[in-house]
Amino acid sequence: MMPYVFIVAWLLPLAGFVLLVFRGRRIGEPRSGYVAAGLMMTAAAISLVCAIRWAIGHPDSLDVSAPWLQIGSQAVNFGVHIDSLTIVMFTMVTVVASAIFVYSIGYMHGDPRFPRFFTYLSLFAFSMLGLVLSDSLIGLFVFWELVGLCSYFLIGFWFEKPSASNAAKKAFIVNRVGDFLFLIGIAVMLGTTGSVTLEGVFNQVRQGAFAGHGTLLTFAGICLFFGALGKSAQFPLHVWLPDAMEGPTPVSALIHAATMVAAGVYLVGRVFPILTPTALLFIAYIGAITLIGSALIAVVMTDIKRVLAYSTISQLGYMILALGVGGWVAGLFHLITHACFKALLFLGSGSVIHGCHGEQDIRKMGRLHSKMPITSYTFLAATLAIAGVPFLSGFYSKDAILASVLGFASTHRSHAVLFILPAVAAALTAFYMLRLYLLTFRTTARDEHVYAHAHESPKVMWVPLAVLAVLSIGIGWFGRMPERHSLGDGRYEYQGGRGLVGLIADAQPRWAVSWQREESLSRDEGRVPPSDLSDGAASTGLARPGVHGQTSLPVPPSRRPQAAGASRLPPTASSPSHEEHGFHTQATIIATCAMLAGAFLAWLVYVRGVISPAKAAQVLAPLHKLLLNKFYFDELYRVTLVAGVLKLASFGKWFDRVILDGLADGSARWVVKTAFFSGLTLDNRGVDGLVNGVAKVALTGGNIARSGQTGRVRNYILAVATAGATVIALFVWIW
Amino acid sequence: MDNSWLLTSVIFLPLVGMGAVLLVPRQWIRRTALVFAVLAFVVSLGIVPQFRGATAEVFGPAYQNGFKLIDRLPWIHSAGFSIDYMVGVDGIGFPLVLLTTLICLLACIASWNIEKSPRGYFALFLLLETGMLGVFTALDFFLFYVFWELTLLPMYFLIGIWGGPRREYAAIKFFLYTLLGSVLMLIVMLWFYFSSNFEGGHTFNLIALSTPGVLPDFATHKTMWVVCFALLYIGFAVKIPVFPFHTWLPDAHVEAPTPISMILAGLLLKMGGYGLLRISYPILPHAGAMRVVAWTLGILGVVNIIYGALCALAQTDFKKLVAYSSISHMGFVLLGIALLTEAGFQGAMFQMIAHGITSAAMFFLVGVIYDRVHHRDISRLGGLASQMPTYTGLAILGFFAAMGLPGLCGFIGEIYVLLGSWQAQVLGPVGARVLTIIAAAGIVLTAGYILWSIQRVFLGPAKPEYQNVPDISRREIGVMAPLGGLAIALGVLPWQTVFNFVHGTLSNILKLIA
Repeated sequence: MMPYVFIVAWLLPLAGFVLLVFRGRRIGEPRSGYVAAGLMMTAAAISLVCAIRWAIGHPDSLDVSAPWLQIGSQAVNFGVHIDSLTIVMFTMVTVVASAIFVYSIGYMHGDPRFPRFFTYLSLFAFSMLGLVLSDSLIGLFVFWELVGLCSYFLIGFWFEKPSASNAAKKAFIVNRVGDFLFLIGIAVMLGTTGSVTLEGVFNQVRQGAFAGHGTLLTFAGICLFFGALGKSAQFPLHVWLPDAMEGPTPVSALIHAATMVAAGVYLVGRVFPILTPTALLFIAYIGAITLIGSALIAVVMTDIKRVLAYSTISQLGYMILALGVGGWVAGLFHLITHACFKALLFLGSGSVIHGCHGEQDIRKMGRLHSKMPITSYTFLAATLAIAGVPFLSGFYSKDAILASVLGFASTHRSHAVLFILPAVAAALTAFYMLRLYLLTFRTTARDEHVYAHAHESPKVMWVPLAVLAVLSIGIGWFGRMPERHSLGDGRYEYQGGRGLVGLIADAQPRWAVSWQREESLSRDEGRVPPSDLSDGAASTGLARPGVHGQTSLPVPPSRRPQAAGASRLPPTASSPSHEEHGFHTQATIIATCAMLAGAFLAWLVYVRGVISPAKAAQVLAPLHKLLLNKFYFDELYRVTLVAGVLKLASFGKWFDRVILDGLADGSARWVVKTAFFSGLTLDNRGVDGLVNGVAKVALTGGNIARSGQTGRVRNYILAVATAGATVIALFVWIW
Repeated sequence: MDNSWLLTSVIFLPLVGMGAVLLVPRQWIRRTALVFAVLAFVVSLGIVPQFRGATAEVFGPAYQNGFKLIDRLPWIHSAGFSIDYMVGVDGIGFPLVLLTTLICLLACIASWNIEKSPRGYFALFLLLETGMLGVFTALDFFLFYVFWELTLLPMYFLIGIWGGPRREYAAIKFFLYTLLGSVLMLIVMLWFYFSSNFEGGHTFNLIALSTPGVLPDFATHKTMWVVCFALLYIGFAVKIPVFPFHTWLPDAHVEAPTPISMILAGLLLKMGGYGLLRISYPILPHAGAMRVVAWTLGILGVVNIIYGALCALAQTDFKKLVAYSSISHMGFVLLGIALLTEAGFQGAMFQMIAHGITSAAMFFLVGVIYDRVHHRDISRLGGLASQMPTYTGLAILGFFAAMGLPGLCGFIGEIYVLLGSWQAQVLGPVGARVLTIIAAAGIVLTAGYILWSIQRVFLGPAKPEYQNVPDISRREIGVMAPLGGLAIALGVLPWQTVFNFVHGTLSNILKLIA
């Protein structure tokens, strides 16, 4: 029953899309928004009910599939896989999307393409939900591209602006780079395991499909990760996301902060079992580089949406890093909490932009709290959540990540930087978010004009803000519910509540390549022995007293996979729990200290005015310039890749026109000359032979061409008619 | 039930239509042509029931017994020749016959505004349709050759008379290139004929020629395989067109009138791919299985994909851009066939049909703009999305289908070819994978030129000079809607719409090679 209910909920936005495509203009301004938002809220209600039923009822995962394709001799089904992660993601997407749909009715008010906006949003919701439901790599890829398409349309929604159409194009093409490698990853999987469903791939890998080909498996994992890298805007394919802020703000909130960009993290989570230690290490470093780099840029940005864009990249980096070090639950938990508070931040910034009549520069804002208190309070809630203030949602998830990383780094001292970077970035996060909040809503009004005309947004916009604020504050608390019971010999079972974290933990892989000590993969060990990795990686978890991390691993015996090689539990299950305690406590302390340090600095700079930002920028001029120019990545790509491809393209054009056509035309001219020479000179003297045949061909062609110029069509019709008649006559005669 | 007349009537209905067009009064010409195009399409739908079910019985256990609706009559049996009129369809011929009648019908509607001597135009148009239908159904090499040449003549005139300013150059270029190919094909045809030994004589019968033992000399002489394969290949490569024989295509497209471009890209190019599948591989399976052949064709396929996309990126003439995109997309056909995997074959076949739909759509879309603004210079276009919203919606559908967006038809062909070629055995594990990665990189370039053209043509601020440009008309929607609908249908249900009908024949051809 359950899967079909989800499929209905999934198809609701599609129905909205189809309706609005054909009837959008007639349905008109407010009503098309009501239709789309109504369908979305229905879907959200359905999925909430299902999520609660699931949480109470402990059902196992469900699969439905129908035959779709057969690639060669390998059948590809179009299938839906529902486990607790699917449900959590599905609910998150529908709930956040509902809030944003409602908000958009207010935000997009008066736009001439109002119905079109909801058309695209509905298609996006359908595609995103399809992505979450898909049970195969091909299905993921299909919806992956479709969400990319919607993102393209929505970034370029105001396509009259060249900057918007450029940003849309850039987003799609940069993503295509990742997608092309994603496709190669799928090809490897299909080629070696003969399957594209996640389940089938895992089974095959577990049974040793890649035995002796560890490098290929690493390659495939990194290829698949590149898909995620594009979509989740990780270094070095992060360049599209800041530009994507050209889209309307609700789009930034829904697609470029809360849901679509998280799809990359979701993908990594899904394919986690086949990632080798080397691939995971690669992923972890990409995440670490991304999170620190973009946090640094966020410090100097002055456009309210760009600060949030870089903050998004940075937070996605945290998730990717967590997955890379094996903190599966932590990474995906952060995905959910981040979706709530980042959607709220973007909608809040939209409310500010709306209230300030399109102004986006925080240097011109200030003291807006008095003008738009609801926006200010909700924005503050999200700011504190993302900064990691204790007991707000971001605190739990970020601590969980830091604990995972700390666990990893403490067993792999050479990778200590993987812990240092996110800890520093945690301080930066608190700093740049408070900077943003203070400059926007507090301090002094720096532009009288903006301040004078600022106003609070209408109810249809602030109600979604309030809903999201409640979620941003409290969603971490739902994680407290499950309780651990020892089953002896180091194994545990969860009983009691099925909170958010419990739900996520239920879906985590029960087997992964990186947990194996198998010799078959020994070639791929790289610098990290798999066994060590798993010890460090998995022995960490969540920073909440009730759960103590160990959501990550222990699997109730009844659910343990039966297949060979999987009966061994991840080493973590037996690791001593006082160590976990140690990581959590340390991580919590370090994260909180970092947060406080960042907040204190922001207070010093922007409230007390002890340090002048302008002076700091002067002192650190080279660094400031580097950050303002976003490490020059756009410029780098422009002069190397873009210019290189365009050079190649014009070379191709030249080669085609000058060389190939030159050869063809030249030889034609030569033949004609020879023909005249032979026909008029040689032949007249009685020499015929070799060249004659060629000449005749050319002459015939020439004659036809010449007659083409006369344009006397009647002649040709006659000729063709005669020919046709002859053909018919010939047939008749022969029969 | 004997329905052997079915194919023959599909093939010759347009020819009868040509006769009618030449006779009817002037004001009836268009309608007469349309009636016959519709008739041909409707009658061709009668083939579908033959392939329903798509079980092994439908295709037969071997390539040779997979043919349906065979119509066979002795034609020329004198002077030692034995030439039959023999037509029939199997899984690879049948979809192309349907595609031909459909695209011709749509092109006929798109030709409604041809003012310059419509009688000649529609007569040649219908003759061309007969020629193409003949190519896709002929089972006698001689007949195949006759029909092959029959397409050449009307195309030459249609470009050379109804074309743009450089039409003579384009027409003669097209003519000479194709003629070169057919001369080589003629040599191979005669070579096959005189080497064949079938029921005590020689034969042109394509089914017989593909039966082992019918070409006894070819069984032992490796050189003969390669030479014949190469000669045939050039003949077909000119049509596909494969680098470096492709330069006639952009010129021909730029000069050809819109409906003729639709046919040229949508159907005529498919004759090349079809020829490879129908003649080269079944008759010379050993040559196809050779490493050097697979390498050559595979590399050329990849070159087509990348080189075509790069050239498209550099164009400023909208129609030329679309022409180069055809070259790029047809590279997937060649790559899929060359590496001899089942998925690759299926992908190549699907790509031919999908490209038939998307290229016809794209050329039509370019034609719609050209009719309104009378130029095709991309740098002067822009902002059309606000002037022509419906048109823009349909155009984006067409272009994204060509770009290979999942859910639309272009995606399926590409992904089949790529997934298939990754697994190819014939080049060893590394070679095929390297080719696949390079080919897959082509999808980035494709996105590049498609999105860049969409941006330059449709997006941006509305330009004052195009203020009074009317949106797409009903007749034009009538042409575009079926293409758009098919692009979606084939993308969502590829198995039910295409693979179901083609996979049996394709795997039988592969069995011949293995």
